[in-house]
Amino acid sequence: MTTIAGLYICTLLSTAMIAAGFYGAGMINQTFGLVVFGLAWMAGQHKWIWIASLGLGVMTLAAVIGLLYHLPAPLMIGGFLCAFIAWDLSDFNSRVKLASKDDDHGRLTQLHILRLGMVIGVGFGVAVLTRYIRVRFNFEIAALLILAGVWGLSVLVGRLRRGE
Amino acid sequence: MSRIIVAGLLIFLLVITGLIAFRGEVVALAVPLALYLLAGLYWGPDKLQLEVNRSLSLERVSPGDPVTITLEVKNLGAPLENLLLEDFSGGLTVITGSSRKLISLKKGETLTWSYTVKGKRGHYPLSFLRASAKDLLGLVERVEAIPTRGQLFILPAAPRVRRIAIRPRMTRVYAGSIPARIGGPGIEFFGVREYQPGDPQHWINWRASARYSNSIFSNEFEQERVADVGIILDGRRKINELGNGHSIFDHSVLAATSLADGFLAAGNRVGLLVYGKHVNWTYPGYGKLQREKILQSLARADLGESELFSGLIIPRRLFPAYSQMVLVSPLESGDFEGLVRFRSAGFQLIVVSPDPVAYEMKFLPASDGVSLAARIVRIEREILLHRLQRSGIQVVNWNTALPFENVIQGALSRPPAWLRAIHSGGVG
Repeated sequence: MTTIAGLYICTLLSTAMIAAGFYGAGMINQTFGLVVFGLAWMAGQHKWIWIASLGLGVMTLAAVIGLLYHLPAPLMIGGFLCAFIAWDLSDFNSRVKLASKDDDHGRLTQLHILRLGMVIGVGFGVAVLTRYIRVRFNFEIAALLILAGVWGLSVLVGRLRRGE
Repeated sequence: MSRIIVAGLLIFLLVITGLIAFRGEVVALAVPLALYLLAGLYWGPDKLQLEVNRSLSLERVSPGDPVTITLEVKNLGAPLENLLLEDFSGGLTVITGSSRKLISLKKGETLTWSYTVKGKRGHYPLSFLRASAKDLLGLVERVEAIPTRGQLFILPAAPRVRRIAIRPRMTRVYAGSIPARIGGPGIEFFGVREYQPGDPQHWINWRASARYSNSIFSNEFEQERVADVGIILDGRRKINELGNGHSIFDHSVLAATSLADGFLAAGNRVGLLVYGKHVNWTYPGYGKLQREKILQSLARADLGESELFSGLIIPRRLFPAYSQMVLVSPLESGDFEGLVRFRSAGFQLIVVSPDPVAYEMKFLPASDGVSLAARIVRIEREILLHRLQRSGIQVVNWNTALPFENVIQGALSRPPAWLRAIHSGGVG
């Protein structure tokens, strides 16, 4: 029950925060589109498990566009994080649904939320720090960083996929 | 799409967009996702090392009887944070508890849980437990089927038939209850022969002896022995499956069970052939062990795509000529030639036929069209049964609305007059 409530609250918050950012900038059509999508996401939550991934993708894209257009960063980052939590809870909820009624999944939910909170907390902290830390580097270093990032990420994804 | 791929693609998108646009905030959005993936890698489950013991309250039951399955799972490996255990009990209905369990299991910890099932006739091999372990964030999953021991037989429940009178032309050497058409010790009068030393005095036929001054005659009785009985259960899908998913096959199984039980109880050597998906033999044998083998075979019996009896060959090493064969089948018109071939091969044949017309009529709406169609099909069936009887085959037409034991008692408690006449004429 906690998971389902959290899932719907996060979906709602994500849509509301990003839509509010766009609305504040006078982008009415985009706001309307985001609200309609957010409602569809909420409605399809219990039926289609893939809609959570779509929701995260759309909200990430909207947050990136918002940041590029200099919309309020707290709203964009907050909206993205809520979409991320909703995406995670959607998967966890589908797992908990498989449990029997007499299983003690309250403890499992607690542990899950604790770990998710830890990941989000650290992530959010780093995101906030980027608002204040400015590092300047030339093009070569940027290219090297991109290559290192792509390589590191590929290794990570590859390892996780092998473990699946 | 895998969640790892989704997260990976988003990280790529965010990092590349952020670096191209020189926007730190955009790159920063990738940080929680990257941490999420790293957490999955760090806390992902290792190879599962689970030891599973299964016990069943009963291993052979009747349809509908509850059976409690208890599973004991011990984790011999690393701690498992998010472990889903699913017991595969396909076809069984869970009535209390659950066949699934979602838990965390520390190293060396043991979980014991029970649930109760019931089911229809069948054989249920409970040979593995599906275990799916994930990290708490659900990114990395390891799935394994852990082998367990256990099986459940839901055996067909059948009414007991008291006496089935059969008159095969050949019996075995052991004493039983089937008249063997050989003189010797017995109950039924068989004939008169010259007195032989050792004959009991009360066997002497004084009336016959009085006619001849030089000889004394003794009565001879008919020996009773056991016989070879082969039961053929017809599992052809095309004649057992009726309209709207109804099947008369379970009635055929009930009849075969009851007959096998009756014949074995009388001491006969009984074998079973299930003619359905495959030709499945239970080799002939005697006694309780054979009863168990036949029951297990009947529990497994399923419908199949075999066509006509004409292709069916009974191995003579299993059933010598003149053995008694019992076919349990709803029958179709094309079966006539095959059954007559059986008869002409020397087998004594009884056909027990659950009536598919009466059975299907229960599920059809009452209308003129339905009753006319039923009448036509019934006439065809009557003709077929009549032709079989005229070919020397005993036929029992069983309306499944009536108790099997009553029908069989009425039809087979004594051999038909024509069969007694043939045998008293000295055939065999």
